[in-house]
Formats: sequence, structure tokens, C-alpha cells
Amino acid sequence: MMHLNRDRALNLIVYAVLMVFVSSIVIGSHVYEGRQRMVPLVIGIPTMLLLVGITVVELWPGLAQFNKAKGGGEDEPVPVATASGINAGRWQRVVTIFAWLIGFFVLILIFGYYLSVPLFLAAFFNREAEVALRKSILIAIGVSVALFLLFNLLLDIPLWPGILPMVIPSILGGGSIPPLYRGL
Amino acid sequence: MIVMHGIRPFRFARTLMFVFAMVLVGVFTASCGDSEPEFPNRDIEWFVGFNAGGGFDVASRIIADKMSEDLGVNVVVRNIPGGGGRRAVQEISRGEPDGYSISIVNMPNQITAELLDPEGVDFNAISWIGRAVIQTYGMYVAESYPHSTPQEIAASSPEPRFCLTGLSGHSFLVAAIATKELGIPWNPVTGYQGSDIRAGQLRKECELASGPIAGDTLTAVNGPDFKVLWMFADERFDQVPDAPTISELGYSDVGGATLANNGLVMAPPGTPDSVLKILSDSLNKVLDNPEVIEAIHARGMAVSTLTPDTTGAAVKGMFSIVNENIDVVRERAASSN
Amino acid sequence: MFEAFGDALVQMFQPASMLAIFFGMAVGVIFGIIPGLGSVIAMTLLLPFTFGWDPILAMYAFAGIMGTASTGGAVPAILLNTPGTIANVCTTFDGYPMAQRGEGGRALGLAASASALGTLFSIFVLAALLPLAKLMILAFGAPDIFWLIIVGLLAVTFASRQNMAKGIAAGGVGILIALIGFSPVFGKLRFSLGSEYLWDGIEVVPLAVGFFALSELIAYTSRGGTIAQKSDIKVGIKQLLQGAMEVFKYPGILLRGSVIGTVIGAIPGAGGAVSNFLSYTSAKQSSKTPELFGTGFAGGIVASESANDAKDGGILLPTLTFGIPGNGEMVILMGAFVLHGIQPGRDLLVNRLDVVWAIILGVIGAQLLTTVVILLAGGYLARIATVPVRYIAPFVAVLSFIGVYAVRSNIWDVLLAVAAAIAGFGLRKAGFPIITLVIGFVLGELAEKSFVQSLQIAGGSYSIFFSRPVSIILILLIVGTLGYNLYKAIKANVDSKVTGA
Repeated sequence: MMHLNRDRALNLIVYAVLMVFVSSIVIGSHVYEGRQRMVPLVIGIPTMLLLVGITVVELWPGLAQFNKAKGGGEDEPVPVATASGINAGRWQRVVTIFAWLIGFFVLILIFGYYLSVPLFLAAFFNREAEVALRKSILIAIGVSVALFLLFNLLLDIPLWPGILPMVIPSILGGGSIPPLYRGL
Repeated sequence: MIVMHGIRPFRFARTLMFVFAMVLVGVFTASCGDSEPEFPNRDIEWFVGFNAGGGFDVASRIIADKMSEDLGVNVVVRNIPGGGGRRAVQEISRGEPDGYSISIVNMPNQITAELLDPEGVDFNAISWIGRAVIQTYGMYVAESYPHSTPQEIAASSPEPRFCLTGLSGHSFLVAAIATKELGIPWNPVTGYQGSDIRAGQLRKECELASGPIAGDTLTAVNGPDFKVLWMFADERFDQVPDAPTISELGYSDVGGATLANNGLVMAPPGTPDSVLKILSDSLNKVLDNPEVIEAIHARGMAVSTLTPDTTGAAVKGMFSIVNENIDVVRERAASSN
Repeated sequence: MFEAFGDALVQMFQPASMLAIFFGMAVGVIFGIIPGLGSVIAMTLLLPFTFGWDPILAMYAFAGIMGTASTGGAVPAILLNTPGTIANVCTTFDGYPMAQRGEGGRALGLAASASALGTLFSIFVLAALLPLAKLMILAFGAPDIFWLIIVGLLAVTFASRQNMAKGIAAGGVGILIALIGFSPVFGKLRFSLGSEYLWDGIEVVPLAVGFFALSELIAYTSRGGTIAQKSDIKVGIKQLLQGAMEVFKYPGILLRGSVIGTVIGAIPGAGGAVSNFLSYTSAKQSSKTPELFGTGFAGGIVASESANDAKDGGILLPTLTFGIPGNGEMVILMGAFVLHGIQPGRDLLVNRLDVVWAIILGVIGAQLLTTVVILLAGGYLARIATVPVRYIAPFVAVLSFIGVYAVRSNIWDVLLAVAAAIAGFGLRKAGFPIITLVIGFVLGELAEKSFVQSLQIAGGSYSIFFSRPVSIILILLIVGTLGYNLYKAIKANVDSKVTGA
């Protein structure tokens, strides 16, 4: 068994999450009848076995000889596969970008698109792209005006107005959140 | 700490934020008036629980366009698909009862959905405005299908198969109740996407289909490859005049409006009667317009107006029909497993 | 027929018609470029907007969208490794490595001309095959579609550049995700955990945008720098034209891709995304230099783009001849027919040839226009690869968040896209190909539907899967492909042991 470095630990977490998901489907399908559970089982069980095998290979890379042969003839560095240039070392940057995306969503949820888009753009340009604040704000306002003209005036497609009390109909406030769960 | 460039950036940012806050306060204050002006005084949103392009959506747009002229405010159609139309029902059941959010809803399908999978929607508490459209369903088959009456079909061998998009929706409801009432064996073939049904019939994967005889279906049944066996109605359908009604064939229990698909217009519970009257009068005035009638008719639907009270009574009637047949519907829905 | 064609050709050059085509083209390209959106969303959003237009002008606009969205989708596929539409996925395999080498202009030129030629081929085939349409459509029943989807799923797996075990596992996960929600086939809710939001299942647009656009955004923004790894990128019109002409060096790949796209497109419900992968994998497997595929090889772009645009003519076949929509685009188009008072179906071929020709000429006109626009603007577009990613990222985020919401006006779709971005990043990090997961998701529901439908048709008998001629051909194809790949794997294993010894 290889030493558990951070990259391998993160891979194992991903495998675990996938296995939890697949096993939930496989186990959950038993409450359904007949053909309703056929595809969940026919797909779920082999997928589960594959994931177990992949996890085993991750923990005991000596078995990786098998994996190399199955690939399309391309050699991959074992154990970490880097795809599309993701640099595994820059975790702080990754977490920062996640935080921006999540923060943007929360802003939109509360304040709606027309307020959140300029705020997000101005803040991102200023903090991440290191553009001067005034210039960031001007770009943000320009883009937001263009969006307003395009969606609200030209296409008449209302964007989410946010959950504030209604301030300007169809633009700011008064949004009705679709329920996530019964009664919520 | 923000790294700044340029002249007095903090002051600029502070000024901008102050101005923005003042604008917000001003708008918010302005929107809290002492008293509400007369209804309507702003845009009315007309929700449709399906994607754009479908029958009810098209009818809604035709009607909303004319209601805008009549009421002097924009009546704007908003598509909020989800849950087979249930999302629109939920939106209205929880909405502000001020008349500015209304919705078209397919009934009695939503009653069926509620009985099969309760979500606490009380259709008797809903404020009904009227009926926008009504769609009559028919039973259609490929031209080569050899049987034409329910008795022949019931006695045929091998047993006929019913083509369906799925085990939900109004077509399924019609199929479930009709097969029970007419004694036709239940052999569903599901998973077709709308017009795919006719491809399935041509490939002899299934034989029977029920649906609104409109649009591409109407074109198909008036062509060489398909025919209508009967209409679930009391009166002949003028666009398919040769097709008998199910009542003529001796099954009046499933004739009339029993199995029709209704596009009823609803408002949130508690909407004041005065507001409902304004909306209902406008809706019915628009539906009296020959241009509107023609446009709706051209898309395979009919206009048959109701007042808020008669709509409520119609809903009660639909409720009792669905309730009577809910066990059959449930059994049919479980049978494909 | 020819008189109607002549009239339609004259009408097409009227200013209003050209404007409508240009408008449709612009909308199609923009929605194609914005990751995850694509032609179906564009047509859905445009549909109510055209209420009140002249029907023929509306048809030009819709044809403009149909003919161009997947061409527009090649732009981010090449420059940002983010397919604009699912049909552009395979374009990333070779387009992006080319952009990284500073040859983004060449790649755009290749994509533009392969798209145009694929479209022209399929439209020509459409016109030629109209009399045979009925035979083709009737030949493919539910069991045949089931096997065709299996072929598609296998092709997707083999096209994966990553470890094949992970590719298959990702595909399996994708299929299982597709099972969440209400199944109309069974009339039952499955795996929704009582959630209202999950009643309709997981929507493909937020998932695809999250997995492709947003997770890729996280990747390149955290990496920093620019997309192009070289500073001296080639972006002039000369490189674009060079790319555009280069397509003729691969006539076999071009023809095969066009045929696959047209044929798969003509089968209702088969899923246009499959044609992309089938074309790519068959080009790779029949190539003398398969190792070049995936390294920035021009033939790879030709295979992908010719197929995904050739489906435009194919999907029109069942729609125009039978009123049977071949895919999501055609469902919206038929909605447009109804909205504009046109009876869809065979009545079109008898009484409304003007509409038929408007659509056909609109698709051709828009595609040619797009090709010219990309060749002219490609240089500027290719420069995106030299812009620091910290300037691109916020625009991608904003457009993605707007696009996802616009699908069905549900704010939780945006949250789903963010969750998919995080999941997508994790999956890429762990070496799972996102592409096979998304394709598994798209095809999984179709596979179950056609499987259950087949059993219902046959009264529960499984023999229906092995009794139709088309099914048997597809099964042989599957067995042959699996056998061939197993042979290659064993041979590679043996060879590596021999060289290691």
C-alpha cells in the first residue's frame, strides 16, 4: 500500500462519495417493484464493483499494470491523473474560486441578478484581476446595463429578482422561491 | 486590504454606495403607498406550467395579448415548467391574493396528480376566474387497424396495446378510464414523445392512442395513414366530421365533457371577489372575440366560457369523476411494472 | 416542388428574410458559444418572442439557430476546453490542444468549414431521401433504438482519453443520476428523497454547465496565466483560411462524419449527441495513425464537427415528412409551427412547401454565414486564448449563471450548477472523464425508456431484442467493437510485458 499523500487522499474521498451515491441508488431501488429497479441494479451493481476495484488499485498500485493496458494506449502518471491543466498544488486558489462562485450564488438568491451581477463583477475584477476599483465598477455597470437591455427590454425574459421584499417589480425583490421540499 | 490605485478611491466608492442606498430607500418608500390604486395598475403575470409552444401556452398568449388591450396593463405570460404543471399550481396556491399573479392549469389532470400524490393543494379554496379553453380528446389508430367500435376492440385477438407518453397526464387519465368503461384490455406501451406515438402505430408497436385531435395529430388523421375511431364527446367534432362520438356508440358515460381537458384560469386563494370579477369579465370578453375564437379553434381547442362560480362548480364535478375512478387510475398506473 | 424552391430562393434574398436569418444565426452562435445553452434553449426562449411575426420569417430565424448553435459551440470547445453544446464535446479533444499550441485560429477554421460541409451534405441527403423517409423511420423500432444507444454509450467510453475503468464507472454514475425523479414510463417517482425540486429529476443544462463550464473555470482560474501556453499564437486570416482548406485533406473522415451525423440525426429519439462520438471513435479506429487523435490532430476536429452539423439535415427528415420530432430542437420547431398557425406533419410537404424550403434554405444560409463570420472574427475570437484567465472567468460565470436560470426560471438550478462545478472539479482531479458521465446521463434515460418500451411491446418477452434485422446488425457491431478493443488491450498488455522483460 502506498503512502497516503494529499492527492491520493482526495482521490479516495471522491471514490467514497461516488460509492455512497451508487450504493444509495442500489439499496434504495429495493423499495420499487419489478422493472422500476431493473436498470438501477443492472447499472448500479457493476458500477459499484468497478469503483471498488478502482479504489483497491489506488490503495495497491502494484495492480496498476492492469489499468495501463485498459487505457487507450496513453501512458498516465500513476496515481494522479491531471486533466485539462488542473494543478493539484494550488488548493488555496481552488478554494478561493469555489468561494467566489458560492458567494455569487448567495448574492443572486438574496438580491437578484440585476444587483448581484455588477457587485460580483466589480468585486472580482478588483480583487482577483487587480483592476482599479473605479474601472471595475464602470465595467460592471456597463455589462449589467447591457444585460438589462437584452433580457428585460429586448427579450422580455425576467431574471430572478431576489428574495427581498418587492422593490421594483420583475427587477428587484419579490421573488418566490420554488419549493425544495414539501411544505418548504 | 484592498490595494488601491487612482485618486481618492475610498471616497468615490463611499459616494457611490451612498447614492445607491438613497435610490433604494427612495424606491422602497415610493412602493409603500398609503393606499392601493384601482386594480389593475401594473403588469399581471399569467403563469403557464409548461414550456412555450404547447397548446395551453399558445392559447394563453393569444388571450393575454387581448386582455392587455382590454385592461390597459400588460398581461405577461411566464413559463414555469415543472412537475407536470404542478409548479404553477403551487406558485398560485401560495401567491399573494392581489390579482397580479394568475395561472392557467390543466384540469382534471391536476386533481388526479393531487389525489395520487397529495401535496396539500385544496382546489376548493383556489379562487377561480374562468375557463380559457377546452380540448376534446379522441381515440385514433393507424388506417390499417381493422376494428372500429369498442366492442370489436374489446373482443379482438391479439389484445390491442395502448400507446402512451407515460403513466401520467390527461391522455393517460382518458386511456385509463376509457379502457375500464369500454371493457378494453389494458396493455400500455409507454415512453413515446408526443408525435412518436404515430410512428409507433405505423410500426405496429401499439394500436390505440388517445389525445387532443389538434395540430399535427389533426393533420395526420385527415391524411391517408391515420383515422379517428371516435371522439369522447356528445357532439361531432367539426374538424373530423366523419368520426362518431362515443355517445353515439352507446357509451354516454364517457361522453360530453367527462374526459375533456380543461384549461382553467386560477388566482391565489382569498383573491377579492371584486378583483376576480374584473379578471373574469375581461377574460370572457376576450373569449367572445371572433378573432380569438378562430385563432384558438385553429389550434384544435374550443372556447367555452365559465364564470368564477360555475368554474368552481365544474371543478367539484371533475373532482367527483376523478375520485370515482381513482382506484382504476392507480391500478393502471401500477400495471407497467 | 422546384417552383416552390425557386420562389423560396428569391424570398430568401429579401432584406427581411436575410435579417431574420442573420438574427437567428446571431442568437444561435451566441447560445452555442455560451457553454451549456445551445439551440434548444435558444429556440425555447425565442419562441414566444416570435409571436406576431410573419411565419416564414419566424422559420428563417429558427432555421438560423438550428444551423449554427453547434458551430458556435466549437469556439469555447477549442479555446476554453469547454464544449458550447454537448455535440461539441469531441471537438475539445483535439481543438483545445491546438489552441494551447497557439493554433486556435487554424482549429476554428477547420471547425467552421467541417461544419459547413457537414450541413450541406446532410441537407442534400435530406432532399434526396424525402421519398424514402417513411421506410427509414419505420425501420427503427424501440429495440433498435435501445441497441443504438448502447453503441453510443460504448463509443463514448472508448473515446475517453482517461483510464477506461474510470470512464465506464463515470458513465454508470451518469446513467444512475438520470434515473432520479418522476419516470413517465413507470408513472413513479424514484430516488427523489421527497424533494419537490427533484420531482423533475436533474436537469441537463445546470449539470452540463456546472461540469463543463464552471469546473473548467475553476481549473484555469486557479492555474492562472492564459489558455494559450505560447505567446506567439497564430491568429491571422491566413491561419483561419489554412485551417478551413485543410478539411479537404481528410475526405474520408469528412464523408464518414457527415453520413453518421445524417443517419443518426434521422432516427427519432436516438440522441444527436451520439453522432459526435460515433464519428470520432470510428475515425480514430479506422485511422492509420490513431495515436494522433487527442493530441491536436486536425482529423479529430473534422470528425466531430462534420457529424454534429450533419445531424441538422437528418433531424429534419422525420419532422418534415411525418411531423415526428427527432430531438429537442424539432419539438420546439413544431411548437413554432403551431404558434404560427402552420399544421406540422405531412401537410407541410403538400401545402406548405414554402415553409419547408424556408427552413432548409435558412439552415444552409445561416451555416454559410456563420462560417464566414467565424473566419472573419476567428482571429479576434482566438485571441481569447491570450487574455489572462482572470478577466475571462467572471464573464463565463455570469453568462453561465444567467443561462442556467433562463432554462426554467428556477433559482435552484443555479445552485445545482455550482454543486456540479465542485463535483466536476473533484471528478477531474480524480481522473474520471466528465464527458462519459454527462453522456451517460443524457443517454441513460433514453436507454431505460426504450428498454421498457420494447418489453411492453413484446408483452414481456426479451426475444424482441434479438429478432429485428437492425437490432442484429447493431449487436454484431457492439460485439465486434468490444472484441476488437479487448484484443488491443490484451496485445498492449502482452507487448508491454515483452518490452519490459
